[in-house]
Amino acid sequence: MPNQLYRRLPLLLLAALLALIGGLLLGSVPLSPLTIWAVLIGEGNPLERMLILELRLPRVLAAFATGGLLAVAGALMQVLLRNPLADPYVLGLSGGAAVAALLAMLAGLGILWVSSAAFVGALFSTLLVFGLAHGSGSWTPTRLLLTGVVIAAGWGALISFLLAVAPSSELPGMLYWLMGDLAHARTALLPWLALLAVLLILLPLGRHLNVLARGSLQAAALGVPVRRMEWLIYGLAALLTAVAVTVAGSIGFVGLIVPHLMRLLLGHDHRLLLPASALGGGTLLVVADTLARILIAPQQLPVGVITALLGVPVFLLLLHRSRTL
Amino acid sequence: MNALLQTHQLQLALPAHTATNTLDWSIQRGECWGILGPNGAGKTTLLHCLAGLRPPRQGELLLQGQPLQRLSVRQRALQLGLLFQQQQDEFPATVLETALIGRHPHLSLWQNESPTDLALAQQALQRLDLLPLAERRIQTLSGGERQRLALATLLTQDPQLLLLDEPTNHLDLHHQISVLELIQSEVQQGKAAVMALHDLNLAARYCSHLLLLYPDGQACWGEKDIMLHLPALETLYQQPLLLFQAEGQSIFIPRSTNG
Repeated sequence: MPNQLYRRLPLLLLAALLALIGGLLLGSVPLSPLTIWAVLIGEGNPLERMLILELRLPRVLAAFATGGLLAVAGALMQVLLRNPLADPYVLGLSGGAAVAALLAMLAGLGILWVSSAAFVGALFSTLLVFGLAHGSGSWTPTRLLLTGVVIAAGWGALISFLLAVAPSSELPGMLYWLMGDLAHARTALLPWLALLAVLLILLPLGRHLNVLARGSLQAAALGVPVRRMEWLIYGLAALLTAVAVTVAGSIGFVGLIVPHLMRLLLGHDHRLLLPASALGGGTLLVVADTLARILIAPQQLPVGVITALLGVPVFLLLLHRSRTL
Repeated sequence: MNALLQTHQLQLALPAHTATNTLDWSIQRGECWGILGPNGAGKTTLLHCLAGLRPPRQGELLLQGQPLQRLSVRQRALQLGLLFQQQQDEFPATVLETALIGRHPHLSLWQNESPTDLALAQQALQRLDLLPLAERRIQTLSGGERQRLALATLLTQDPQLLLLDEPTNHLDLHHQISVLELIQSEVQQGKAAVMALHDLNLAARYCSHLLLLYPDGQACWGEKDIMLHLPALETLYQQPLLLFQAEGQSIFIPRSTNG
């Protein structure tokens, strides 16, 4: 539906740019816009160059892409499960990733292995939930949701077990990973590629998602190939979440609240909602990560703490004001 | 001439349907069919089966001479539209947005709704007295308004065969009549309709043909005047009935069953 809501998209873009610039300027050592400009056009002293090009820029870009991945994955999961309270982790994906990542940490493996383990764990959990939900009966959103919730509870128990038996020297690293942390994000390339690829795939399917949100029978009656769409959504959401978890551990709330914030701002059309969620999620995570870096500088907080601290009151406010949830 | 929809040796995949007879039924343009039967007889399943949403136990469906299975879901949605007994409204949306999703099968992947599509949706809302509510959220509608909105979505979809599962559900007396007359006028324009109804009197008045569906899967069908046979209807519903004539209409009244 071409309408006036599309005009709000440039505002989101502007907010995203401001957040990115803010993320570059602020930190334990604040920089001036002039310094950043100098470095970006290839001047500036080596220390500033290193600080910006090797530390802040990759981290800010990784934060943006990760936030975008989580928000889009959340919007997809909400349609797939026809449940507005679904988030990217609701089907136990982050639990699987966490167990694998923590095992890698306990084995004393490097950060690259921990990330790879998280990715494999996330995909394993996805396949496990999907296989079990398929079961002998029919494949319904409720069945998928219940299977995912139970598998997530199982992963939760395993995580507690690993934390209980871990040597105390490993605990801070493990806890930071569990709360979501961008300090180890080395490359922004993978999350950006994943985000752009998935948005491109979904761009022509926004109207299908709108119809699917009305229930699978209604969607089938209106000519949506429901089963194929649901597999696609599930696969894409799982891939997005797996990449996000690989980059930054399990960061909560972005995937739940950003799609809802965007619905309030822009309405219910997924052709608009998905790109807006990518922008909004990216902006939110860059802001949260910047706060995580400066609040108790020079120490850093795990970004998941900030997104939750921002997310809980915002979401409660939304819930309080909403008459439809 | 090809029938709009034809069934060949159709049997519904319902455990209670143990009868061995099959349904060889054809629906022509200009016909308005009523499906009558007690609760649980399989009226909804039959409608879903005709729409291609549920596979039958056996048999085949032909849509304008072509096997339904071989058509894509989108091709089916251009010819067949289904009004569901219940709507799922998990996500917020406005009345106009909801009517507009009826255009979905008419648009290709990269197409957006055009002003023409918007006009069709508004026209459908107008025909169901919903235009003043166009910007309302569907969660704030009453049951009857929601039911009329579902009909408006179906009209916006503009299929050749309208399959309607209890179209008069939740509607007040005035809207029961206006909705059935709306369906009748669609049929007179060369479309066809099949509707599951519980009100014998409305069925007698607005349907041209009737199909009686028994709980064991037996069915008989034909023109209304032949099918409105008092003993057959009493057997169908296990309910004694009284028949009156008023202004050329058959009026059925259920008798009390306490003696």
